[in-house]
Parts: sequence; C-alpha cells; structure tokens
Amino acid sequence: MIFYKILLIFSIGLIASCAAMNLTPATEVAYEGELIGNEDFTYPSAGKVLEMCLTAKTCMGLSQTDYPLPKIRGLRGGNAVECGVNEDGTPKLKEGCYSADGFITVPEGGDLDVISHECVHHWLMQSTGDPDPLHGSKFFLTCSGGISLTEDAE
Amino acid sequence: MWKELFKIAPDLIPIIIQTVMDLEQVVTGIKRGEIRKSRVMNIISNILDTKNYFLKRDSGGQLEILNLVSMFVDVLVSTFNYTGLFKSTESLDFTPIPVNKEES
Repeated sequence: MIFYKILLIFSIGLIASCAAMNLTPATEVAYEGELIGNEDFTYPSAGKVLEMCLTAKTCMGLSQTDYPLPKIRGLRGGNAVECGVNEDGTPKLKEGCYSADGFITVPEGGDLDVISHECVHHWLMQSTGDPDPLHGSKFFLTCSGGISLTEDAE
Repeated sequence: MWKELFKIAPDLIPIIIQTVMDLEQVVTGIKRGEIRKSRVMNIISNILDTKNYFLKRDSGGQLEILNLVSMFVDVLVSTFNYTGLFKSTESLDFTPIPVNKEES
C-alpha cells in the first residue's frame, strides 16, 4: 500500500516539475562578489548559499581539496537570468547559470536549490577543467537537490 | 537471479524507499539533506538479514543483491532530486547588509 502512495507522490512531483513556468529576465545587479559576502556588504542568504555549495562539494568527494569557492551575482527584476543565446538569437533564460570565470548568476527570489546545481558545475570545473554544460555527470542528480548522497567515510 | 529479485521486489522496494525517506527526515535536522550511502546500505542489509532474505544464499549471492539495491538507491535519490520532492522552500535574498567594521 505504501508503495502505491509513494508512486502517487512521484507522479504528482513529476507533473509539478514539468509544469511550464513563465520566465522573465532579471537585469539589475543586487549583489555581486564573494559567496560569503564582500568587504562592505553581505546578504541574508549568504550562510545558506555557502552551506549548500559545501554540501555539494562533500557529496562529490572533494571535501579534502582546497578549490576556491565560486563567486555569485544576484540579479533583481525577474525570475530568470540570461545564460547565452538560443539558436534563433533570443536570450536563453534559465533559473541560474555558471560561467567559466567562476561566477554563479541567479535571480533574487529564485529557489535556493539552484545554488547546489550551479555549484556542481563549479566543482566540476575546478576538479576536471570542464563545467559539463550538458549535464552528463551523475553528480547533477545525486548531489544537486534536496538529498545529497555521499559515499565519504564517516 | 533477476527472477528472484522480482519475486522479493514488492517487499524490498518500499523498505528501501522508506529507509531513504526516514534518513532524509533524520538528517535534515542535523545538516540539510546529506545522506551517507553506507548508512542506508547498512540499514537495508540489516533489514534483509532480519527478514531472512539471505537465508539460503552464499556471500556472493548476497553481494549481488546488495549491489542491485545500491544501484536502486542511486536511482531513487536521483528521482527525488529530479522531481524536487525535497526541494527547499527558501528563496534567494540578496538584500545588501552592510558589514560592521571596527574603527582602527
């Protein structure tokens, strides 16, 4: 019986995750700089953002490495950010993006979980030199979400 | 092997799902959503032992089943993350907070 309940939850979750979302570009820079805050300013989500990024790092088995943290750019004025352009020349709107210069760009008000996804790009970039824009790495599924599965020893 | 696995699947799958979900609830309070895979596998292995699934199996056969369970745990966690079942409800706030500096 519990199996069918879980199956139902899965189905609802899948439908909800596939629901179309109207994306509008955020363009005004609310914050730009170090993940944990700059010399003069920090931001309310800094602690959580740092925690999520480090959790993703541990999940990927990189906790013992001293790779630098990514930087972050928070944009205001919409629920998406422009990450390159589509084939037809229109801007590619996404809930977050990572660029090779080490910056994570996200809209203010966006979901905090986007951070762990972008951090996986960052840690892949640091450890392999390739941020894996096509999301081929299994870490995007096992380390960038509500659950981080880690095989590190206790 | 697969035939036997399919036979026990109706019992096994809910156990695995429940274990991962229980651990998620326990671990969330300590550190958000981090699960030690070894912990999940130990619990499942103990449950299977208790339920005597391994009664007529040699260690190789047990290992084979546990490998399949391990793969299933990966798939399960991936599904949880893909569907956003344990998604954070918090949103990003970039309101600038001035850092207090002590005058030198």
